[in-house]
Amino acid sequence: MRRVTMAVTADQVAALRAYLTGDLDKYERLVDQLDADAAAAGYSALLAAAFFEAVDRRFAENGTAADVVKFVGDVRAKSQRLAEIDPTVAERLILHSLGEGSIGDLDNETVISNQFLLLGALIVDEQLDNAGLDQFLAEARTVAEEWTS
Amino acid sequence: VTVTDEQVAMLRAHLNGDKAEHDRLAAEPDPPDFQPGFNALVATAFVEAVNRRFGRDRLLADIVRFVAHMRAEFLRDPDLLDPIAAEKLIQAALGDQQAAAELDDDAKARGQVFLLPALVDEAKLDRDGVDGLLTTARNQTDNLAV
Repeated sequence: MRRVTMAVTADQVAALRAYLTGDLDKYERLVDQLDADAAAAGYSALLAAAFFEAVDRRFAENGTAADVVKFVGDVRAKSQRLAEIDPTVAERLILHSLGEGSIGDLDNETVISNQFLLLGALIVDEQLDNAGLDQFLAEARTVAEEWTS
Repeated sequence: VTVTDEQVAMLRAHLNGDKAEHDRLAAEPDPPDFQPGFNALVATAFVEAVNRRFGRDRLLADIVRFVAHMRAEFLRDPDLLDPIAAEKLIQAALGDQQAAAELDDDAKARGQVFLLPALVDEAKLDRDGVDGLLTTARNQTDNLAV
């Protein structure tokens, strides 16, 4: 049987980049233009890979479960979308990225929406310049393509 | 229901981290924390401590940060306390009667018992300060019970 490969597209990367730079008008426009079927797999994989990479950068070396709890609390406290971030889900997503626990009981919509909001906060804290953000997205794209190939 | 000296002693031991005294009282045939009135004492102490801590600002962001800090710093496992339930308990203590309406009595008591030591710690209450808090809570509880 032939294996189907779902590549991450440049448009998907550009859409995520627009979100992470806070250009939400551009983000909305680019997301609307994405092919719906391709976006369902490729874009969600890119988002998940970016989340994985950002969590790894933030917590993998010295992060503790307590650090994760405080980070999520801080994100929610600053967020205008506080009610949309379930702290227990958010903590579990981060810990799962670090190799702890399971998220098998969470539906895709919950995972994606929480990863999306948390990723924005993680990248804000990273204070990446343009080159740093490009490198981050390139790494995320590589991971996403490995996952979907 | 009247609050007893032993119930106050039990809560004092909990708030002061006096494990030996807490264990001594817990080992009694009729432990004070299982007697009628103890949960009411905890609840009034909690409401008093929450209002001292959050005052008039009552910002949800402040509550969220406090609960996260408390779970991270005071619990050996943060999952011991549901953060949303804890936030609702604090909102309820600040006057939002409906905030904790869906929590059962056990969840309320459990959350209050977990959160109270953190509130006491953050207020930097020494033993006299804890006694003052407990005296206020006892008086309020006794008045509630009349």
